[in-house]
Amino acid sequence: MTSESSRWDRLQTRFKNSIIGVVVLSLLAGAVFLTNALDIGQRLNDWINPPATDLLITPLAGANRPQPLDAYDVIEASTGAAASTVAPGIYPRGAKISVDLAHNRAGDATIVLRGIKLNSHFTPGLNPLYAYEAHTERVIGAGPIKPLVFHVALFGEKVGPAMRVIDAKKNLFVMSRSNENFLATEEPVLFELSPADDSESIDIEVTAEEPGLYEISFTLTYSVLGEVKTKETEPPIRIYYEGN
Amino acid sequence: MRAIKSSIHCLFTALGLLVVAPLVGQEANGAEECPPSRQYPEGIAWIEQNSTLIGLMRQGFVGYEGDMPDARPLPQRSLRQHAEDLEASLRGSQLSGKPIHPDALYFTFYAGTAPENEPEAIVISKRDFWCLSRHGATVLLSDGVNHHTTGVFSVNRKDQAIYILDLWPERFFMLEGRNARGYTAQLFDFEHPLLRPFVQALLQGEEVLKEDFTRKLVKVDKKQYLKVIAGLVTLDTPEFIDYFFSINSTAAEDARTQLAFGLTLLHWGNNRFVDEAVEHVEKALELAQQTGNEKVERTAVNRLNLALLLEYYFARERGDVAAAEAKQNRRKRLSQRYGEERLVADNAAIDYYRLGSAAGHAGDFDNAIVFFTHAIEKKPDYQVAYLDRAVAKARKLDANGVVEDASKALELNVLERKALAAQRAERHPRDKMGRLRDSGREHYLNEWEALALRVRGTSLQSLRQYDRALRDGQRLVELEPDNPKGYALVGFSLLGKGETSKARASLEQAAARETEPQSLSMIMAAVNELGAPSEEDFFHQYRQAMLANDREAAQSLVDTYPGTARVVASNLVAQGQGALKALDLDGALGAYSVCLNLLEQIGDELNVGLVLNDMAVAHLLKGELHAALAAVRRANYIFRRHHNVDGERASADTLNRLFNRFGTEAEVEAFLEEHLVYAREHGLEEEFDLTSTQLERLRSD
Repeated sequence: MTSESSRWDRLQTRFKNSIIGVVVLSLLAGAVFLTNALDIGQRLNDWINPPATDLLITPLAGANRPQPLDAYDVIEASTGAAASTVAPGIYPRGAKISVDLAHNRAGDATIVLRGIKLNSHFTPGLNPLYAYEAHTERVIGAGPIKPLVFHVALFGEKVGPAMRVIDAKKNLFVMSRSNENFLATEEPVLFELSPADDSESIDIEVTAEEPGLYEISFTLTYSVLGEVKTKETEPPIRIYYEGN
Repeated sequence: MRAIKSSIHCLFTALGLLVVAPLVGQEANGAEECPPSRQYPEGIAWIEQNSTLIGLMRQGFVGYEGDMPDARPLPQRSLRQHAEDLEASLRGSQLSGKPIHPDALYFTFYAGTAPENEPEAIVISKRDFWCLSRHGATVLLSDGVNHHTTGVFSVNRKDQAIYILDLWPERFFMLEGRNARGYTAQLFDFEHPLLRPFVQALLQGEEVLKEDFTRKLVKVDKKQYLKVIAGLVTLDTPEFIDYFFSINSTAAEDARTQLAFGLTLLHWGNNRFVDEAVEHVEKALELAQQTGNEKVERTAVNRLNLALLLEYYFARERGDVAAAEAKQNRRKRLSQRYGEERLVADNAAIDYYRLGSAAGHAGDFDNAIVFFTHAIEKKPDYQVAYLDRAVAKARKLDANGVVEDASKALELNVLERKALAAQRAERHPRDKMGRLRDSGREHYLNEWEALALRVRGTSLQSLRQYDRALRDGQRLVELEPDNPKGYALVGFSLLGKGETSKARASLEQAAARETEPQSLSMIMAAVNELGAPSEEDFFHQYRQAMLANDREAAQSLVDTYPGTARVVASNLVAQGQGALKALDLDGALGAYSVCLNLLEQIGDELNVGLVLNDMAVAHLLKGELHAALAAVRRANYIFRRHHNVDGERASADTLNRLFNRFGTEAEVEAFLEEHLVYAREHGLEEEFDLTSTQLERLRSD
């Protein structure tokens, strides 16, 4: 055991004194120095330019796909050339949309939602390819209006103001003053997301009131540390209404 | 009481129509697109009127379910299922003797597409909805997101507006400024002049002073109403179908519409309309064949086969051989065209059960057993199918088969009771409709258990298994203490075991409750064999006791031989009625006076009333007006207490006949003064008080 240790000591001394040993040890020392120096630089850079906090919006597709209204099925019509740009399927009469928002957890800044706007592109008229039928047997006629859901109606080119039930018991609801922003209500509505928050859903039920095809999306305006940004939900959703 | 309620119904109905009229507008003037609304037939109008008044009464007094912190889950019932609930409730009211039109049934209309699982729903256009909307209709309104079932108070066709009667009008989803869709419904204050008297009548005359009777209606314009209308339920008779086709004549040529009407009429609760159903289903079949609508054709063929088979058995039950043959021939033609397999391919368990019942009633027990067997194959836990198959087997004297099927029915009964108890425990405290359904189910489970015990017990007796039969009888007595069959089962089982004295006591109990003459004579034969006094001996002993004024001895006799006592009382009633018919007034009164005491001691108050009324008639014919008045007044009181409408009517008639003898009020007054003396002399305290009050009223008027 004693003789083996002394052999290992002798080998170490021989390596340190050799040219190869000197080169290898020098390289290792340099690498350690560079690593420490760069980390400090990064920290310095983070201190001067903090990482970009931003809003994440889950695409309105897959598991987060909008739901059709109770009496209807999604029309799985062939979408032709525009297939890749819009969400699959067409929603008869309207859709129940859940916009999932999350903090990107880069940085500590809080995201403040400033506005939600519904963008709509309207094509009037009927298209027999999109003919649909209502299933009245599925409509269960009971129950209060679901609270904290935005209700918006599309009147052809015009988008109506959003309504949101706050407390059904007190018959308390708010109506947005502008159709440009759901959140522009008499009582301000504050939506905030901090890095510690889970994702938050904004439920929006959209119905069409004039016959035609609507292609809709939502523009969300938000601010991070005073900087105002916008993001649009993707992909656009199509709603079709045949009228009465 | 019932007669009073009935007249209140009529009054409310008549006045109610006047109240609704101003809100209806001049239909005839302003309704080019719709013919005048169909008026509700008698026997339906008052239901709608009452529903309206109940709706108005409850407005503002019913909590909004969603407000509750532990709100119950909403019943997931479609409009058609809601109509079925209404229909079940209607049938219940009919059975309880309410003056409901015998042909009343609900029709359900949907907008949109024909539902696969609810083929009875009739799909109509928005225009038809407008024409069919009328006072009392239940409507399902939906803007795509909010869905609400509510009621129509009235339709103003001139102003193109509809008035909705909602329990929570302030929260109606179409109110102006309270929705995102631009609806402009308005609240409308309204005081129904009949609401106060209606509430007072319900409170049995108590004054309602503090109550505010102003209610709110929601006025919706036609365009917006038609945008949201999704469904409508209306109560009417089969004649309504002709009215519908007068609104929409092209619908009469639509296979799906004809089928939906046919299926509505054929619905399981409505054996009454099978003939009418056949017409519509046949028409649907013809149209489906013409247009190549295979789906409708398939359903129509299946339903037509069912309806024709039912008709065949109904005709057999009536003894109408020619009609039965005609139905059979029509069904054979159908079979030749489509093949027997296709005719029954879509039959459900309930269809086979209906056929089994119809065959059983027509006396075709072999086929009844076959149909019930098919029903059980389709639904292995079909308790009532096992039970009815047991009954059919009993008619075929297959005692072992009966015991087997009735035992299976009882086994399923226990399982269903357990499931019901679990369901009850889970019910939300405010789920009234659910609890009502549970009670209804329990009622049926009790009935089925009793029937199964009775059928099995009787068969066990014939198999000489007296101990098992006795246990069934004892359970039956426990379950239905007023049912004579339980006591008879116990009595005959004990007889089989040789326990004669116990057997006689049970059979006496059975005889005391039995009303079927054939069963009664069988029980009495056994009782007499067991040493009870003959009817003549009983009468003699009883009469002696009464003549000696020994009421205790008479009562003891009645208590020891209740069955014999009852038979003797029945004999005396028959004797009295015969004498009265033959105008042997003394004979009638003689028989009735003994009978009256006997019935009083038996405790059969209703028959006391009947006897008293007959005695009043006899006294009246004899010119003994005071005795007549005393008797008829007591009879009238008994009938009112027992809610016996027929008796009430008969006694009122006797009273009228009595007082019609007097030409002037002065004569009546003189008679009543004399009657006071009569009442005092005969120790009739209540009669004295009643007469005093009547006299006072007469004088004050």
